[in-house]
Amino acid sequence: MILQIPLIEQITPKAGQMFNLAILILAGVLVYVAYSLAKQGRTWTIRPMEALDAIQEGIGRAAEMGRPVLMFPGIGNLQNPQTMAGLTMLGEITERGVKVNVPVNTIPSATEIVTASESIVRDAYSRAGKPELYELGKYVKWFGTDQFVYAVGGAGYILAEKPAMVVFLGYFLADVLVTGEAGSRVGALQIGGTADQSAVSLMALCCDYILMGEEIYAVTAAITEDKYQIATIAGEDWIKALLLVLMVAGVLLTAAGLKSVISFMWW
Amino acid sequence: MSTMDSVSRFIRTRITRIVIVITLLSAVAGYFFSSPELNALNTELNLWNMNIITFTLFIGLITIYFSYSKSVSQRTTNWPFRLYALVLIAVWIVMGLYSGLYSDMYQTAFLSTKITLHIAILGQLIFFYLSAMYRTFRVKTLRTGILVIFALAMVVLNSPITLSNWSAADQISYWLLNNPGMGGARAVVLASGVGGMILAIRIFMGLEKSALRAAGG
Amino acid sequence: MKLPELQARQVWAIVLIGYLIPAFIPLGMSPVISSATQNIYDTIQSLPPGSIVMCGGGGVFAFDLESSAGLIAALKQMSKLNVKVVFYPMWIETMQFSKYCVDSARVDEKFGGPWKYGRDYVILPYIPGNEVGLVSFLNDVKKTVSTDYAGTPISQLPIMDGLNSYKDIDVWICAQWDGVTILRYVTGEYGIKVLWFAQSSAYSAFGSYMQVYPGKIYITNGALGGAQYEKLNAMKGLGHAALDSNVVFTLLFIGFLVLGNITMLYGEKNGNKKVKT
Repeated sequence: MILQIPLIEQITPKAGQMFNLAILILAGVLVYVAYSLAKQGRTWTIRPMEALDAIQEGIGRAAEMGRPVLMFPGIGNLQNPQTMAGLTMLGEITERGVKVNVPVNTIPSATEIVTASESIVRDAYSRAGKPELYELGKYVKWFGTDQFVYAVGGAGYILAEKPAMVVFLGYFLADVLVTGEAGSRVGALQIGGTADQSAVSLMALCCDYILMGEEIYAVTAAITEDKYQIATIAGEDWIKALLLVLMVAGVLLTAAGLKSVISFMWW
Repeated sequence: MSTMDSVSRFIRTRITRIVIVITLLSAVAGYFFSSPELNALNTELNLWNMNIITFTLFIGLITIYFSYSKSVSQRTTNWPFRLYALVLIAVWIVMGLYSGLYSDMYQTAFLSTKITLHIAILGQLIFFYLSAMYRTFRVKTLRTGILVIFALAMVVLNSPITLSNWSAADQISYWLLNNPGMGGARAVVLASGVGGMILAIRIFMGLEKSALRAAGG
Repeated sequence: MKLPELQARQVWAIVLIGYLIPAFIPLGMSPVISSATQNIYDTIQSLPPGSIVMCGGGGVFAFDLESSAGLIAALKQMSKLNVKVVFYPMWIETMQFSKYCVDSARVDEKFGGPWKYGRDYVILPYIPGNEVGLVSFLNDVKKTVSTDYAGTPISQLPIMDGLNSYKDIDVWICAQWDGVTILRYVTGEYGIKVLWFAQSSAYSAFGSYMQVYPGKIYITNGALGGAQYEKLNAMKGLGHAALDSNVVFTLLFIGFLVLGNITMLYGEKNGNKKVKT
């Protein structure tokens, strides 16, 4: 299929979208500024996240108990940013687990995530210096694409293998309750993270540590201990500060009868 | 590193980033600007995206077949279930191709098996809800006390027995959901949106090595 | 006397009893109509003849069953008005769910209803890509879909003659879990009114959209909303059946909450021993 694109003759900005575009461009600029500062030697520290410390503690616990670690990247597909965060975490946890001889298993849901997971696990073994230990199909289990087929399979796997730690990071819905309860029954340390509002409350019922919303993206940068990725979190915080100022200004000015901020945001 | 490895790495890193940059800029331009050419480009890219998504289904299936076949041939743990899964996948594919995906036979078979089981599993969720709630909804601190009070309020106010005896219950529960509840929910959603945007920028900049499979080794 | 900590299986046994109560002892609860449900009813009732109503979203059949109560009642309502309904499956099982709702509503002429397939309603095939497919469809219907679910070219379906883009859509009804994608794009980007028969968990998460787009979005509250819509259409179905169970489980929730906290205060001290289940 050949894509025929004639010369673009007239481009008109869509009404009400220019502010959003400005924020997007500004976000990119600020992230790049933070990245450049990191290249020049500036460092940032992320506030202590209990879940992050718990992951390392959990891997140590698994090594002591001689039990595996289990990771659920969620029920989303590759288009979902939460799934991307989950896959990044999978790679990091696997690499750390391999270094202390702790097997890290994962149970993805969507079939394309199976392929991506195999690739990420293989890369993690290579980075840890033990590529010979990787076997296709040994660490990535698949029980089905459907939400509850995946959850029931995962619960059964938890009850059979009794992992020392279970990590949920990605897009989840009510399925997390099934696997979370199974993890509670075997006494696993459970760490959950999702940006979906409804699933966060369910994770709070069964997980020991929770990551809410954008914390899942921050923790995937923080766990890499890569100063450039951590610098992007600083850029993110600058954007959030700017949005906070706009929100407060908007509320105050609108309450005073001035709609200038609102009009600006609908530019 | 061999030539094949170098070529593979080049495709996975450089080519992937070039494709990401082009499609990202096209999608962003099409979202924020309007022109017949941009709209046509966007529609074309969307159609390509849909085709790729459909294609990834087959990649996953092939991976599963390789993995499960190896497991069956080596008689690993639970190999009969994997053989059963392989046979079942093949049977459903053949049935779908033969009778048609939307034929009455296929639909009846799907409704009678998978969906019936799914409904059964959803029906048992309440067991998990209540046992988890019994275990965790304990008033140990002020924060947990507030959590328990609001959870109780939402459940009671939405109950038919309350609604039929107290008409204001509906409005109170709606107010609770959409004022204090919405404030917290919007904070999570807004922050998640910003976080997702930054993740996309990280991928765009090539920093998300796991996502791009550009790790060394 | 010290209260023992209940094990999970004991909790489940009590819940099982609760499951069975409404089956043997009908409580006969009657729903109270909420303003959102009334607004949905009035919106559909006021549709001019020949209006095109899109009906779709992304969801799984089993989960969407909760909102099928409202959708089936709405289909019965729409069959009495001269409106055209196009089903848009954004996820794989939505097509089967749509077919199930149409068959359950008994609106097709094969059940003695007034609707003829292809003239009054059509079910499109699964359109992959989620938001991508939705945006493509809203911008150019004919380029995104070329056949219906059975493979019939849409050029042979009279109902599709007047549907070319979002401009031809009068109202969008959603009875699926992923209605928020519909809200964000269909209402947020294209300004089309959306009526969402939401599951209770979706209502609790996304009910605030009624405030974000006042007058453009109305959302019902799960099976309760379905029961309310059934009552507005003078019928009884899954919604009404769920009301009794709702009452029983509310009482169980309160009971376990109180028991759990009493156990915490006056329960056996287990020290470091973890209760095994």
